[in-house]
Amino acid sequence: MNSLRPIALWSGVVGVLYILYGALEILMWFTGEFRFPLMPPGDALAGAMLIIIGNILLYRIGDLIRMKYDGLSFLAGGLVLSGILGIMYLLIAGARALNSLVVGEPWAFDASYNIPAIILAILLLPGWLCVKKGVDFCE
Amino acid sequence: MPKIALIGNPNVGKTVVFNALTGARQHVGNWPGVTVERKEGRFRHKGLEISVIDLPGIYTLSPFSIDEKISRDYIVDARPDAVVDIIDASNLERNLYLTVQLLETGANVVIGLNMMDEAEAKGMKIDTKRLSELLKAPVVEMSAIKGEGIEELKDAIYEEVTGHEHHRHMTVGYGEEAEEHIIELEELISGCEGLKDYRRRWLAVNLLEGDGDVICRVRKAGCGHIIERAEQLRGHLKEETGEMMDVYFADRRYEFIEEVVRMVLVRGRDIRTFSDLLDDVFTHPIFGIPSFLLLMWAMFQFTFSVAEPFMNMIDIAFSWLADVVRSGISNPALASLLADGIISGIGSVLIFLPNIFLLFFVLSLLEDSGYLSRAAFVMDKSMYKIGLQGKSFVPMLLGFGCNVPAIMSTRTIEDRNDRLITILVNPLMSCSARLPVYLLFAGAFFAGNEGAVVFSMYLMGILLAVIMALLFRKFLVKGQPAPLIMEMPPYRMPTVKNSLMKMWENGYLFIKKAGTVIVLGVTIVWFLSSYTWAGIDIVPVKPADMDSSFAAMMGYALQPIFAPMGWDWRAVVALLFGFIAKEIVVGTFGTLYGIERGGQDGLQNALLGSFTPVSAYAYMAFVLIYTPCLATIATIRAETGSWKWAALATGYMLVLAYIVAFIISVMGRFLMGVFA
Repeated sequence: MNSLRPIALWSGVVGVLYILYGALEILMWFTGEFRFPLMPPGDALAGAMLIIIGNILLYRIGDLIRMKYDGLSFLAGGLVLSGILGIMYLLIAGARALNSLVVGEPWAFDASYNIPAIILAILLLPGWLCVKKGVDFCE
Repeated sequence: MPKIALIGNPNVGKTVVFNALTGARQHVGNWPGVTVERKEGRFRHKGLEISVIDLPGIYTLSPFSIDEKISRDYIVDARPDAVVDIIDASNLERNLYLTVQLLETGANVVIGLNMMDEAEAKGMKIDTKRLSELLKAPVVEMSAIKGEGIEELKDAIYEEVTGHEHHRHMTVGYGEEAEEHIIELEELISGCEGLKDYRRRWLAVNLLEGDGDVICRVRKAGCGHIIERAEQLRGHLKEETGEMMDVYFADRRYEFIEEVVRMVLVRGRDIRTFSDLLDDVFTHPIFGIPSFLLLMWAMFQFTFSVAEPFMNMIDIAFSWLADVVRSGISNPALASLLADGIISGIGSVLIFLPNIFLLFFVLSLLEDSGYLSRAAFVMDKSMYKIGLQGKSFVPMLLGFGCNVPAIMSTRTIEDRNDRLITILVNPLMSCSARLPVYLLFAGAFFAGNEGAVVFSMYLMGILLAVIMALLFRKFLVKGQPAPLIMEMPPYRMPTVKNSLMKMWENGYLFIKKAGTVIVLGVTIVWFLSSYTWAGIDIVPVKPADMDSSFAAMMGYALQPIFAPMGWDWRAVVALLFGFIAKEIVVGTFGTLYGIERGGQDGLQNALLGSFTPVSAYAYMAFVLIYTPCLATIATIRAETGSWKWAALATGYMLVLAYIVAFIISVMGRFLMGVFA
């Protein structure tokens, strides 16, 4: 079995997680008070964005597992978008920490930081190995 | 001082080469008589000072567009000591067309074969020595973005301008019949004194092509008989070949290029690049638009959230400054002018500087990465449906930064009607000057959902632009939009330095405005809200009696018009001053409320007492839509060449703003009633 195939499968799993987490964010936005531990307050738009990434990752997962370029394209696109969102949430977390310093409030690491979105971006990182070894893929 | 011209197709890294050659030694102006940017700079090499002019990015020297005409006139008339043609090595066929045309003019061409790294990544191998021999011009391999090949290019330029390098002119063969005609015309041209400065073969070929600009030059030189003979020969050649002459000559050039490329280029196995992979998703019929929306949403989330600590820093600094001034100046009128008028007003605008800087930073990242042309491509189908074309989309997107450069960027749209509609709807794209108003109101009335509310303003702007474009296409400029033909440059990693430079250039304009127009605006607002009539005298009013100030009189006079929306006189006064520049809206609130409560901290709390969430949202929508700022109106006038269109844009936006705000107020109140 090709060494990249498990990574391809893994990116599919992360794609499913993206969709599930996105759906949860939307659900929490609808239900208001209903909250999961360690999850930020529901944000329908943020949830929709995560679902988009999940769908991109899963759209050609079959081709990705079969080591075809079409599958690799969607992994590459998903990786870029997931990376952008992950970096964005990291920078927001940094900005909030800095803000606590500026306004003199005690800094607290709480659920308002969108940790799951950052974790999902990190979980998807092995996918870069597939993109790096794009030469192993075929039409 | 020797002068050289830098030329090349769009997106070949010409600006990077220009910056690498000249560094900070450059200045920007306009070409005489037109509003096309002209960049000039200098560099020193081996003790020789060389002047560089950056010509507009073009595909051919045939003078169809303003850019092409400027470039050709400069090369043919100003005769620079060398013309540096920057070529995308990964796209030789297309880029060499301009090179061949340049060589035909007889210019001393130095070829900068840029993006060699990208060509190699695609498995391409280029025999540059052979290319140089075939084109009879020096060829330098480069990867300008990595700084590779710049010194070698300087060496080649130095050799060219000091005359150490001598090369013969390259000649494209146009077939036996055409060559006979060219020789005959060359002989006629050699007898015309007024044409002795031009390369004879170039004139002859262009006369046979029927190039209007060259015909004009020959006529001006007083050699009408050459034009007559050229017309006869052109007719004869057309009959013989059965082709249009411009097509015939272009085909022969492409045949020559194909032959050159066949001899110098070895293509590797067809490997899909990272750009190709990304394009499969970002231009995908299903995922193209969602990906675009995701990136836009991320841009606003980032802008809104990351700016917060920096906004607080500015707020603290201005509050401190106002306190110092208030306690340090004994004259109460002067203290009030400085602390409550100018400092509060400027502070309430500058507080949003971090948002604006970050917005420009992200826009610059998107632009430099090459994503914007994909955005235009994916939106083309939708744009076509609303009577516009994909090329209209980039100016619309740039409108999120500032409508003035966005309207100027519509020059890339060839079709006049498409361009006119794009200009007219562009001010509906929410520029950065409107952002402070959204942030102020969203923070006060929609805490926790600020990002989504601000995002909704941008979406509303887009939606209204769509509706207005449709209406304009249906009733004002009828017809179909032109089809989209545009080039997709490969994705490139944007450099932080470049993005920071662009961010500063654009953000600085905002600071400059704050220091000039807004200072003046808030000073006037302060005066109007601090004084009133007492008989024939002008006397100060106490903060508690501000309702009797000049500003209040103006606000009360206009307030009935806005009564359905439930806005008080202060909101009306802020809108009135927003005609000059939208930033003044927040500055006016800062001054009006600053006088009452002495500081910036409670501006949002003060607004909570004057607006409801519905009236606040309607106010945000009104600010989004109502009349472009004065600078935008002037730009519409300059770009359309008529006050008529500037007046139309101002008028329709004012009416549209009122209708939308009214609908929001009525619907909002109804829904609030239902849910209550």
